[in-house]
Amino acid sequence: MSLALALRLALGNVRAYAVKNLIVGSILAFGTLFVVTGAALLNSLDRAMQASVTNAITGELQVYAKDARDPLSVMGDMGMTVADIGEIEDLAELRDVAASVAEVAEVIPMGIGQSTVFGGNDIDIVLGELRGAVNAGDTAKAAALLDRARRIASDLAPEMDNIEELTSDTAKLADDRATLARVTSDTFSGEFAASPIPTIDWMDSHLAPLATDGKMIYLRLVGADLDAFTRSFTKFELVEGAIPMRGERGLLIPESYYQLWMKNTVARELDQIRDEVRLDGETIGITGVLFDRVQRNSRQYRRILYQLDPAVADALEPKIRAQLGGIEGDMATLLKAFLAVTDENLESRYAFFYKEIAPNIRLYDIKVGDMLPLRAFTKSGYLKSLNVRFAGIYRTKGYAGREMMTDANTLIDLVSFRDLYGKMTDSQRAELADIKASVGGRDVGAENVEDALFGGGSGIESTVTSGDGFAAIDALSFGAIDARVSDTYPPEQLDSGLALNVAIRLRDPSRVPEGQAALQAAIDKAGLPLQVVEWRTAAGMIGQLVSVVQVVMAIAVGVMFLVSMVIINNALVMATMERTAEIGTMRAVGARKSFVVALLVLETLLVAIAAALVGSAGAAALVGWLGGVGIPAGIDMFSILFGGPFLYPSIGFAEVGLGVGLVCAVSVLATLYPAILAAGVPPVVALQSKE
Amino acid sequence: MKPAVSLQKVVKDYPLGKVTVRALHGVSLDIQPGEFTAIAGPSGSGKTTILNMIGCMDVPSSGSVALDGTETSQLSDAQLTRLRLDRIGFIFQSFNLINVLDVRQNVEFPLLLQGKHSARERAERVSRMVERVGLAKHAKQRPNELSGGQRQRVAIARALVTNPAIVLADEPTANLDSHTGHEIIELMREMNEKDHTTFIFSTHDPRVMECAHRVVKVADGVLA
Repeated sequence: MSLALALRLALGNVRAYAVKNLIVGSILAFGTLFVVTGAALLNSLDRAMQASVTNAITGELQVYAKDARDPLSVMGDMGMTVADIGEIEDLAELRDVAASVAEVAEVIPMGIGQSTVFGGNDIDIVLGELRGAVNAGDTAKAAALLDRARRIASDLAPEMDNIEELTSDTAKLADDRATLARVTSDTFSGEFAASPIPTIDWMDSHLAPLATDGKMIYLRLVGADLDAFTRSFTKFELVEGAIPMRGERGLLIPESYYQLWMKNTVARELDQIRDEVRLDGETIGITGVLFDRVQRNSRQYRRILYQLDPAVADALEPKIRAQLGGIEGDMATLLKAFLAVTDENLESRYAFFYKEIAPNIRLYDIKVGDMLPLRAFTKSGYLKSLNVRFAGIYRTKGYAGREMMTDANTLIDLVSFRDLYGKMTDSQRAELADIKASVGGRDVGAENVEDALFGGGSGIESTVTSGDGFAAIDALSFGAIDARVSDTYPPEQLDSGLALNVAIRLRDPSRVPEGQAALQAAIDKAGLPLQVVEWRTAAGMIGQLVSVVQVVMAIAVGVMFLVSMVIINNALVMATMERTAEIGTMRAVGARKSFVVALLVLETLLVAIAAALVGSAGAAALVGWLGGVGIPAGIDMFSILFGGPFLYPSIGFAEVGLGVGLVCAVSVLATLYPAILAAGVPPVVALQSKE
Repeated sequence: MKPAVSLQKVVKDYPLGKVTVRALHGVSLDIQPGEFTAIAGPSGSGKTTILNMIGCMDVPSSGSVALDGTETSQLSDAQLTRLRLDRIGFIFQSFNLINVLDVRQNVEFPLLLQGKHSARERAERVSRMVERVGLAKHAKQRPNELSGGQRQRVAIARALVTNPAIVLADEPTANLDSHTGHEIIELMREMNEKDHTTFIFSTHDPRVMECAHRVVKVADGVLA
């Protein structure tokens, strides 16, 4: 009964003190708007991210070693180093445990590592410095740099053998070998000293393109049961080639990475310049960053010229000349001029480039179907090589992918991953015995085992010598080894043996914590030294983003509500002071202290609820609008978080409930002190009041 | 018959900064049920303090206050509140109505606080009281839409609606012109005579005192 009375009074008072309540209400409405919108955006982001990340690579859960030195970071972080995440000794045990957990739908064994493809050094930098040193007259520095260039050349020499595997252009190969022979010959230093600048020019045009061919491309390897991986992760999309079957070795390179790092640099630069103009609205103009990039690219014309067959070049020359409006000059001049694109001719030249020139050059360093010589440092620190077929190009749906960050994981079959990782299985040991038998049964010794299996001869491995037996093994490494470390492996190797981490798909993706707890419990019960982490943690830096934003927002909300509380508290204390007569009268007539407290709390609560509804309605409108137009990802990293170029946020009862609840709680807290103050108003003030 | 109000050697001290001011110097007073008593005296004489003691809004520093034989000086705040609600009606100098409630709601207010009457019973009682104070036509109006005299009538209705044993009125006519003041006193007299409710009011208006059965004079904290 007195609650109904208090409510009636409160309603009346809310109206009676309209100005005060409007101020308090506005603050609270804004607070609600902020909280509800923020929560809706965060939850939408989290949902989008879960859909994006778990369906791309992490799964809902990841399992890895409990004693891992570094935290698991499946999506990678900024650094180029590979985290030490320990090992899962035997997949079979984990599979058994996971099979007993009802929540688990699928187990996808993985490993994370890195390798390079095409070893080599960036000779451009060395030649640039060399030119600078010669111009500055620093002969000592020039000598040292020349020495470096020659060493690079001698490092490149063995690569020619590798390239022989991949190329059919034997004339070019012979030229390249001659170039390397000249640079590495004993008389070259003398030639250089006699005419340094022309020699550098010659190296720029002859040696540098070789280094580009032999450039070191860094690959972030994610080993996996590729069959399970591509089936489970719905964001996976094959662009070219084929997914290696169970039992087949193979590499799947992400499209954006392939475009960025394996495309002819001139073509790629042309692509990027066009993207900047077309997608980002930049202009080339006659000065500025993009203009400089165009000029630099134009100077790289040899990257094209060198790849053109003389006959093709002859056929191409009149076409380019026509395109350029009939200017004079040889092919080099023409190409240079052609590549110096402007805002006006960018589109036509781009189209011409891909129609006439691109088909005649090797547009990509590697092609699907090529055998790639991967190199990686094993766990024990040895450099190891392994030829793996480039099986296909894939993309992750929804990842925009103009930048390297988005999609940098090269997928490799788990067995090849293990080989590069450097742990041998029993069957590999048996295979090794076979190899030893076939090369004459000589004992290779423990430290040479890896070379024997996966190829040495890198020049870094000091134990590889030119002894008879070893020479045979070296030959195997680059050539005949393909027959030995075959393109296939027994598929059951995927079910047991080593993995570094394991992705778990759950039957119900909305019940991640439950699945995590159940699997961890089962693992602990089985005594496996493994930990289960949810996708946010497992994804690495990117996964932490939502948590970071959450913390930042929580702090912002906290500060905002603290300020609101102080303002509300002050307003109410002042209002209470003005209302002592009214309160005293109620107390005199017979209202209990609790009635006074209830009345004041109720008054604020009414304002709070009204404000919360207004704020929530505002938030719903705002989020609804954003959900319609979408929030653009802007940079590529956000497209991973958003699971596409736009985030379409939505709002639900949970967010509104949170906002309304929080605002009501804050209001009640802010009212407690003034309410207690009011309850302390003695009834006698009713008699003292004068109207 | 037990007196409606009995004050025995009531002393009341108020702290005023570092000194203590004695407002009542041992007042003893009995008021019989049904009496229409005026407590008279100049400002600061202690008449308001006496009303506070009787109205259970304050407790004596020493001495005793009894209502219908119930000793009040030992009661808790909650008990005193309940006693005020059930046994005492208040009429204030400044009317002290609740501005956000209309006439009926103001009169109903103590009944709702009591929480022991059905809605129907409350409605009947309120209607009867509003009619008795002559405000049936103004029942839906808010206090700020009424004249001073009308407001004091609402206050009288509110004070009497719970059938209290005692009605305390603190200078009920002080804020009214003499004609209206007289009407209010007449109304209180009428209620007193009909219901035999004990009325105790403070005043310093001699014309109001004339209407009282008994005038208790207070000066400097003692009965004159």
